[in-house]
Amino acid sequence: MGPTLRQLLINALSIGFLIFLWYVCSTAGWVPRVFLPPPQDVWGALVAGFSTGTLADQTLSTVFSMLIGWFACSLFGVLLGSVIGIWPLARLSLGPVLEIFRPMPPAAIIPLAIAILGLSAEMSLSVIIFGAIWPALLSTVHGFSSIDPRLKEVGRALGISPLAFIWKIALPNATPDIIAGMRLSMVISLVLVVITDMITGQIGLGSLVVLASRTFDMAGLFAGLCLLSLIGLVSNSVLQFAERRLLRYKQ
Amino acid sequence: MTTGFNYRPWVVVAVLIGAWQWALGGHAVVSDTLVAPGPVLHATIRMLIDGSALKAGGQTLLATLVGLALGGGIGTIVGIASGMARPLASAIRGPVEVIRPLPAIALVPLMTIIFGLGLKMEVYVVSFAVIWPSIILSQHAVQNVEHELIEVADILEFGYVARTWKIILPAIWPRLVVMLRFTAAIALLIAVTVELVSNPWGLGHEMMVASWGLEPAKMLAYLVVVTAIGWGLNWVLLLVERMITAGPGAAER
Repeated sequence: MGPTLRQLLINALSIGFLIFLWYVCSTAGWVPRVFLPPPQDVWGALVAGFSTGTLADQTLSTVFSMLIGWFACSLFGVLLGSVIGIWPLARLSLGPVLEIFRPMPPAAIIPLAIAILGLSAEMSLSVIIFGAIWPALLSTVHGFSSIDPRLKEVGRALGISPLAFIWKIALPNATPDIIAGMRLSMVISLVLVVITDMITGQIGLGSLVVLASRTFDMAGLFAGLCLLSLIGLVSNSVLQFAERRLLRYKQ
Repeated sequence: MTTGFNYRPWVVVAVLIGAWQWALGGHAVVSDTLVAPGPVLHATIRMLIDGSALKAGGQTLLATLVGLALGGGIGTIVGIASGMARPLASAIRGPVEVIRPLPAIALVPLMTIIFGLGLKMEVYVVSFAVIWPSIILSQHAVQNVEHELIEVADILEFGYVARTWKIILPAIWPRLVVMLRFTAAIALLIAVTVELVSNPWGLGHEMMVASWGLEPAKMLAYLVVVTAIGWGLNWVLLLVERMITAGPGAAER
């Protein structure tokens, strides 16, 4: 526990120093206040926003969309990835096709999605799913196709059904890859929620940031940025914790 | 069978395009917002010939590469320095972990207020997105350099510069190229997205304009160009990676 505690202390000190630096830069006028509001103003904006409830609504909406998108793309990604990973014909025929789509920037399908679905919540969700599914999907495929041949032989020797093979051997074996992919999917789905909010103007932190910048409400803008980084930090830490708990048997 | 030509993906692609053609070629769906593959191909070729795709692609690529160079450069320097000095690594860890989860795109409004629209704003947003993975990946690369090599540097009593230049950099070089491939994809994604959201130039903007203007052929043609650039960038860096890991001098390493 010693080294972790020490690292925590160092983290607190260094983040404190960063905020102090921010305070000095903004109050001493080294950076114009128009660009960098002092931390106490941002804190004030956060408190005011949460006490009136508008900021809470926007934050919850962003978190909610992120979680729905992430859940959907994890589900589809793992299901589709299992099929492709376990079935050689699907792997041979679909694998290279997926590689064609992968380098496509996920946000680039937004105009297409708008053309089909309009500026709607369904559009946002489909963009999030389409963009964030890749890490979950491809890591599942990888996890399934890199099963130790000996494990396959065990499965054959025991004469278990393909479904039981997936459930009892392949899936546990692919879990580390799948979780790593799901973590990346979470990051991407947060990014895509912000982007779709910004474009469609739906309630959320993305549109909050845009509106704040249009009214030169820099404290509000920074409050939005702080909340976004907090959401990212918390969601990633939770998944990292889950990863460590779930994979404890591997160590 | 396994060594033969894998024709299956082509069948899948052909079926997909065939279905697309069937659905939108006047049979199943009538749409103002979507078109069949024929017109898209036509629009792509026309845009390539009249140079509009190249102009927009060049703008996007310029912002991508400058942002990648700036963010990747700073990130790699910080990463290597912190990888060599443990105290520095633990000192920057907290701030990096706190700022890193912020989606770079959310900075677009702020950067627009500071720098205005244009190349500068886009470059800074791209470099913000690239800098964090660069720091972390290069730091890991340095920390994973074999102990023997570090000991050699200790015995030779190398200073920091000689140590970095003669031991660390050659050892982490292949990993840096992998990192570059990874961050280049992020940079392109962010550049296109900045253009989609606000910056009035480049492929993203052209796509958005085509979408609002109900010119589906043009919009999809730009999507093809964006994908081709992403694919090309990945391919070039993969080639570099292969040259480094399999080229002359690899054996010495």
